[in-house]
Amino acid sequence: MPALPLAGAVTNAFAGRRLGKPLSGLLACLAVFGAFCIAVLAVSTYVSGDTSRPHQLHLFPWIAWGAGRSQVLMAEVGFMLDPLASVMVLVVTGIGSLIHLYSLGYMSHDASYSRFFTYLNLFTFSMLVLVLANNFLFMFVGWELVGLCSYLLIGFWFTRPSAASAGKKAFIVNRIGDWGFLIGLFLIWTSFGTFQYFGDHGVAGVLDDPGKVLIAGRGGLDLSWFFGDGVVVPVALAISLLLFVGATGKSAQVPLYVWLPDAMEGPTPVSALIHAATMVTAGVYMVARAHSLYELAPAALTVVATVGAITAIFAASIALVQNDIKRVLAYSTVSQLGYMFLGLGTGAFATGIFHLMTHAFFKALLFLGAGSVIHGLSDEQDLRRMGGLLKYMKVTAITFLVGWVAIIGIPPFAGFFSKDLILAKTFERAQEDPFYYLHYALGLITVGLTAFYMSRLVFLAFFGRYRGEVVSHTPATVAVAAQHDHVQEGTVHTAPAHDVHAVSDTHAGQGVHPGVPHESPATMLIRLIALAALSVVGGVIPLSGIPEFLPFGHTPTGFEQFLAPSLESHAAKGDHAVQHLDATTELILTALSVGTASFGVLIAAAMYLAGRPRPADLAGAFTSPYRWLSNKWYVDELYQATIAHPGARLASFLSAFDLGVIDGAVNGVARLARGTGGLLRRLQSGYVRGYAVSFVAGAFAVLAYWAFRP
Amino acid sequence: MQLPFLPFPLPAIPPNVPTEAYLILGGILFALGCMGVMMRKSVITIFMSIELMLNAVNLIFVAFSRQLGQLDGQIFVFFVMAVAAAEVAVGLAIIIDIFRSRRTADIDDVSWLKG
Repeated sequence: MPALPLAGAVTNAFAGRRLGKPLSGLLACLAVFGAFCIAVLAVSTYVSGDTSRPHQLHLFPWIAWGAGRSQVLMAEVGFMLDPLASVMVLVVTGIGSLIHLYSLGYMSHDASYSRFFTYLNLFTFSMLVLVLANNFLFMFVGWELVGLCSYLLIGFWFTRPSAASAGKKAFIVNRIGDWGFLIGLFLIWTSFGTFQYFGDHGVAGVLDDPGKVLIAGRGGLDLSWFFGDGVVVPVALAISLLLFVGATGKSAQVPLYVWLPDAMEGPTPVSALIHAATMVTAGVYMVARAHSLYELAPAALTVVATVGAITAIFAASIALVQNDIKRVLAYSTVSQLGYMFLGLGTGAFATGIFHLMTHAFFKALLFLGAGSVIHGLSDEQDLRRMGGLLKYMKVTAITFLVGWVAIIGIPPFAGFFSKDLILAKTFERAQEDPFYYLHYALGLITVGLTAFYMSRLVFLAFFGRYRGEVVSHTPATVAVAAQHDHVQEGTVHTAPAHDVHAVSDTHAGQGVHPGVPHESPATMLIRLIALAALSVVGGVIPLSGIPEFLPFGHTPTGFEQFLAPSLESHAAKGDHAVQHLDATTELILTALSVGTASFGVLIAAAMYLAGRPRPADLAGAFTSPYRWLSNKWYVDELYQATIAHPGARLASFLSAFDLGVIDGAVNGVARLARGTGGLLRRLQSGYVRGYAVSFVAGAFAVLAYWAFRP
Repeated sequence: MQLPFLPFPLPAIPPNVPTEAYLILGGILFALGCMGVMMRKSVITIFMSIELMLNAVNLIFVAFSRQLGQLDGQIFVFFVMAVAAAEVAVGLAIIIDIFRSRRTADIDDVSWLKG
């Protein structure tokens, strides 16, 4: 299954230029779509069979050190399909192929078309490796590949300095997280002696074996050498925290989220792919995959939940005041990822994955919708210059509205179910551990904030009056205006979207004037509609029947049952009966979150539709909070001052050291040899008689020594 | 030592000539050769001076051979002569070649290997 996108990537990399545009794009789409078909087939076969055991496919040993019984290190290249992987595979290939198709239209005029599809295919391949790998080490391979591809894709328009530096930022921040992941892997190996997830010798197997658990999973890690005497950290806690460091990097959680908003420099389909379907969910997937370790370390779970909740509210607060449509969505993604981690952190891994899935649907929808808007407005991304687009781009607007209600959690749509489930689980957890009430409160506030900023986006973009400049109608001025626009936006990429418009306009024959916002070509709209449909029903699919859905705390939902073999608890088995909420509480909670969401929408409506109170006045009244928010809490500046600046200082010091001391030593030796040579060459006068004199003098010297030696 | 089949008598070496005299003569010849090597400009003269030095050494070898009553020194002299002959052959060839290419036999003009 991953072979297809890989083949596509390789073909495109080597032959893409010769294949020509339509063919290379088509090839890439076919590869991913083929992978999707295989995924559907494989998953349906798997689901119809016995789902309690994962389906393993061992390809070949990758690292085998030692032989037979005394095998010391063993890692294989192998794939595995289990319920968790099935969900991820379907999301990755499904959304991935939709995005590939969308890119066909979106990137149609870019010069490096086949390079784009090469990266895109490579990305899909890496993600499939990550999801389908049957051991941690192989998953790490996919993990790193995804990091690489994100760098390539974010920096796709590498001639633009901001894009290039955004790519670098993403890569470096991810690297910080990978550091944690890697050390976690080392620890897994030293304490479990294996990287496999399942099987008798897998991590899960070791945990199941009471004899081994004592030495492995529940053992202690002696850190006395570092922290002083007597500091022993449980191995499970250490591993889970380290893995979580990796997850925060990849999934953009609080300390390491900064790369994600900058990742908006990439082409919009890439943003959709990275944000919605694949990359950022890798961390969530990894935590869910390693859940058996997390369950042994409740403290790590609390950390996960806390970081998740903080991220959720933090990012949502920043999203409140951003003006770039893609940045709002980016911060919204960070915030939603926070939700997922909150879900994982409450120990309800299935709900986290559930939210991952629904989020993939509606966030891909929102991003592609935003892409359509940007496309239709000639690369305009500033919300303040949009407005009233409902009139101009009906399909985009309506699908975007669907995404909007999905993300803010209005009942029949996808986001409602998953988000509410997370909040409910948090509340449930809070009854055991009051600390979680804080998380619940944060989550609830974030619901309100989410509703507010998304409504603000929607109202600013699609309602009211169009605030962009309407260009006059003659083709000549259009061309000039197009040039002007490009210069003004500072865009360097050579794909004037206007050409696309011109073509599609002629085709449609609607007589829409270029320069006036207008609808995107049908190829892009179809994906939007498909995703909108998924966003609507996506939340209902996993629930086992409507009657059960309201008191979902009582019985495990169908989705949870489906995922049970993957996420089955190893540690908490029968430890305590989880107290489920009763239906009334459940209803109250649901009403509470929906109420909060509606409240957020109402405020946004009041501010941006009715203009009471006027947003500008409000910003004026709360100058300092507004400034903090619009500068993203100065986190970038903080990192700049605390990490980047000292880093640069260190780098320049090291460079001076290198030039002065290391190079100095090397050059010094050379200069010494040259100096001696210069001195010695004077002896080589070239006068043979001079040499003869020195012979004689030397002979006399030797004789004198022998004659007069003491 | 009288060899009977020689048609004429070997000139008698005056037995009263002491070894010191040979050594002094050898030393003078060697010093002359040495000065010649160091001071003359012509390559050919230098060459001849070297021969002179070699023969001075030969003389001393022979003198010591007589003094000690052993043949080692004389054998060594034959070696020196053989080597000197070879050296003359090679050395003259080199000199002729230099002369052909440079049109000079002045040792001071031959300084291309100067560092």
